[in-house]
Amino acid sequence: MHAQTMKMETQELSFEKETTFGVSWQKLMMWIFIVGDALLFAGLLAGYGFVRLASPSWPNQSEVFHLELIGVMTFVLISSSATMAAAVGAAQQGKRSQATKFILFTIIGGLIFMGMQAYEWSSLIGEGASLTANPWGVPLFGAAFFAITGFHGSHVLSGLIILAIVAIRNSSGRSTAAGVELAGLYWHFVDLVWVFVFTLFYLI
Amino acid sequence: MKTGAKFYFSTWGILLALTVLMLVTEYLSLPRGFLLVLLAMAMLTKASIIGLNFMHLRSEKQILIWTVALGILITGAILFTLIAVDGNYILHHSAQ
Repeated sequence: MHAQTMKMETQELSFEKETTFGVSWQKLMMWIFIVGDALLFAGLLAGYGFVRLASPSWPNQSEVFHLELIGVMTFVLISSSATMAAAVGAAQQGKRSQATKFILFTIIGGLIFMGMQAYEWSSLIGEGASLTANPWGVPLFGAAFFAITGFHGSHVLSGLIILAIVAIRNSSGRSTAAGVELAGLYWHFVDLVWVFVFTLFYLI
Repeated sequence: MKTGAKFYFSTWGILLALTVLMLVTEYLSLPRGFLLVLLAMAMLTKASIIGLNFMHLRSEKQILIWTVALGILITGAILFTLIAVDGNYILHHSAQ
């Protein structure tokens, strides 16, 4: 009797059971998390917008940042998103080793992105930028920069940890295609957020 | 669900082209208002492409697509609009 109940509970937790939204509850939970996290970023970016609107002047981004470097960072992140999409596609077709290979490409992309962000941070810190002061005249510019890019960078880092775990599990046959897809959703979200950070903070 | 290397490669190409276009606008002396509209449109297009093609929202049920899209867009729009009004007021107020 107890074993039967356990079996039923296990079935209820399976990926196959669809919710009203037409996806498994795990995928639905990931989407709910993504919407919540997106609004967290929206709050940060809106706060930045407020600071910017309320400031009589704002530093010219092309004079502060190396926009070519930011462009390459964006290219790397978009490319890693493409390799992650390919990993999900391969996992869904049952091509486990190909999926692992694409996840590893994605991890490499993420590491390059983080390396470039570390370089950008150290360059700006070297020029005197901090959370409270910077050489470009508007004190909150540094706070907005470190808060927004730091928060995004922490998402990249956690994404890399998730991908490393998924790659190990996938290569040893312990993960499902649905598991790879969930990790993929998170990684694409990290890329999606960068689209907004790139435009609103670096370009506009 | 639409997948396959060709599909992801073309999506990647479109995203890359839009990114290059956005960067190029920084070096052109375009009117500020026009630049803002152009960049905002490119940003939303890129975000939609990632959501629809990479995150496969395209092949999900309408109820999930609208829950995600409206949830983010409406709440985000309210946040930005109210804060923009407040920010403008403060700028105006402090200038007097």
